[in-house]
Amino acid sequence: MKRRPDLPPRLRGRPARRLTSAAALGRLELPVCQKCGTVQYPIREICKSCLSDDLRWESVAPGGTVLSATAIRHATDPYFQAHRPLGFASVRLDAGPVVMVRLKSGTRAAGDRVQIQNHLDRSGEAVLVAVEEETRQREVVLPDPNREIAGKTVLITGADGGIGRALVKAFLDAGAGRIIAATRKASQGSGDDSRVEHVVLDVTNAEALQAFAAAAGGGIDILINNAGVTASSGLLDADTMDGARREMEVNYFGTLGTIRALTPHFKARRQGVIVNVLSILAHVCLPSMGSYCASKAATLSLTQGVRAELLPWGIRVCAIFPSTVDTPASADSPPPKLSPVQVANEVVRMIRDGTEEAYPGSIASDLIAALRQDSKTVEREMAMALPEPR
Amino acid sequence: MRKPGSYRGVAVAVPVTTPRFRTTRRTTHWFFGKLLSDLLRESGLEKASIDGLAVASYTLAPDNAASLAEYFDLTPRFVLDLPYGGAAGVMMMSRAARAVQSGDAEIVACMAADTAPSGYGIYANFSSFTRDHIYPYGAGGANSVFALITSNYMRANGATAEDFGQICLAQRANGVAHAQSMFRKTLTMEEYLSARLISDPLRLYDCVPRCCAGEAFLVMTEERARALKVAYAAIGGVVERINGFASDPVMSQVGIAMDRDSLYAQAGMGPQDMRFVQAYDDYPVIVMMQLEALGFCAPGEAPKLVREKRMTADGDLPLNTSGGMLSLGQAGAAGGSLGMNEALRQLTGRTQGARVPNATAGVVSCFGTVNYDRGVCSSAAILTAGNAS
Repeated sequence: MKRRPDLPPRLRGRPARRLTSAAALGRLELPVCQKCGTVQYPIREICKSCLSDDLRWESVAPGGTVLSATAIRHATDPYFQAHRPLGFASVRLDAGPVVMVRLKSGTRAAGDRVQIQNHLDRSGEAVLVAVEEETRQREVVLPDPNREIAGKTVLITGADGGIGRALVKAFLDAGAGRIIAATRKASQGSGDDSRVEHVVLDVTNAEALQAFAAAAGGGIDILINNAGVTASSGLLDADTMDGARREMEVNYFGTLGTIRALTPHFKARRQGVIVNVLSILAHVCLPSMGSYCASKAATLSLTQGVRAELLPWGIRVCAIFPSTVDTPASADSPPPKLSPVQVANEVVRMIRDGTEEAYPGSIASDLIAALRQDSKTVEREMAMALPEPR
Repeated sequence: MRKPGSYRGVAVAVPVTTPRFRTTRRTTHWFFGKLLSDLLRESGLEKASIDGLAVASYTLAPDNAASLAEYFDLTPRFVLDLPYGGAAGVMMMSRAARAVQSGDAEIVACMAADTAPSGYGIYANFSSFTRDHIYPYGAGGANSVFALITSNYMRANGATAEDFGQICLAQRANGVAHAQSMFRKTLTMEEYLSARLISDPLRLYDCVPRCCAGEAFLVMTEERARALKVAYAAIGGVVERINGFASDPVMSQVGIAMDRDSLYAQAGMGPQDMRFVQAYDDYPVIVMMQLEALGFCAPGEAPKLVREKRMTADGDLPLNTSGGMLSLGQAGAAGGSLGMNEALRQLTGRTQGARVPNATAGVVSCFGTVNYDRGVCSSAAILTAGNAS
């Protein structure tokens, strides 16, 4: 088995993979015994204390005290060889267990207070890191080019829409070096920052995508698949399937086509970030816009598939799942609505925080929590939003 | 707790060792084959007389003791796989002894061998806890875990680098007399202290070098040993403790510290009667913890002990008289049988290196299986000279 030196080991047992799932959302969660309250670490399926199998993954207090720390200066694994010296420490969590963590080499000694964060590493797997106790930042311990925005080139599709404009501004504010604002039709974006370059790019046009990628693909670091349409109709109540086809064409095939055009360039550099702007409705169908939901569900599946294909290349694939956003495209939808700025800032934060999914606002985060607990109840609630047939 | 029964009537004999290699293209089976043929040659036994097989190895997988029975066309009625690395030596012996006492087997071949696998698979997948929570942090192998343990021990007990160096220097001095030592020259404190850091505070000579080798011995009745006219040792007592002191946040003592009184009571002896100590030595901090557990000093006092004692074979606390793994190398799961075989050789007067004068009784302490943040298995035995052949 050979592995390239730019990626850490991916091997994990199934119970421990749940830690990766929490890291994808930027959370520190551990199994907690529902019978005796013992917080478990290392990850187990059976309580180490009372042997109950009734363990639930819960958020735990991130504070802890360093027990012992070392700097690893010799490593057999090629990734770790390339990143020596590696800070490594055992930490007693206030919540109980002793955890082994990564930290910036030489920054902490026995007795120091620390905060434990759960991060995805370059291979997309969870590692616990110890950072300053009071910090609100998610600290990058080992270098990760996919968590940097400053100086980077960002391609944003659908840049003239409500979320698109906010994304341009958010990436400018985050220090992006160059923003390629792609729109289907020629447009003048807001502002006149010299870092913004407006291009006409129809994401449903394969030849246009190829030509664009050949000309500009090599310089792009971050791709935001934001172009999207909605026909705002049910699957059966629309007169024709034209709207449904158009939604699939733009939302699904447009995203796939753009990713396919750019990934050869990302692969060549073994880095890159792709963010798909999805919708909470990728997870459940709102029947009054059923064909849109189906296109977003297809794009969610696409997101998982390309993520798996690109992880071994050091390329991150992220997705954001907003509820209704206050844009011209959703003028007819009822409130409450998220501000586009909130969505755009959340995309920037996701990249910097090294997370994989974001659910901005309480509507989306409540819905995903409810769906994870019981999807059928949410499905029926969505069904109730349809008017009674006359 | 019931007291362990006596090991009376059991003989441990015929220590054999394969050649040692840094690396090899041979399979682990080759090493087991060498061990088995050496056991037969040295004992004069026929292959068919081996009716028990105890095996310790990591690199034998996916094979096991039964696989070896077929490989070597043996027909044992007792098999045992003990993949417990450094702790396996004493564990094989005590289980084989009970099998012999109860008549489940008459002659048990206890064999340990490992090759040094290429790549990092064995470190990445050593245990599920290691795979999930240690290896992804860059801590391949045990060095970094023992760096944390050593650093903690230094803070708790005031141990200095020089104290650990005393152990490394004494063992090297023992090792240069041994034909299989990886080092032909003694080690100076200056060389020890100026060696490169591996994982702070561990330096190069704190970390055991890997090698490929095998160690084996036979367990049978004393009656049978006398009939075979082989020199043997008797078992004075055995203790074993798995996952001891689990609530210590950082490993600070080895499990058998819980069982010291039982060990000496079984043998009717005390630490002062031990003519030598063979203690598992992948890192010197673990040697210190074993010296404390075995009652040579109080807990936390080993740094003082090693400053005061001479640990060479001719000293007042002969320690790892072959040079130990720090000199001869750690052959995976066979490392735990190095001390066993050295004890047998001292007690039967057939040393390959330095000889302890008047070696009538000694203690072997084993330790191993770094499953997460510490070694989980520990075991110790008192062996006494059985006969002179």
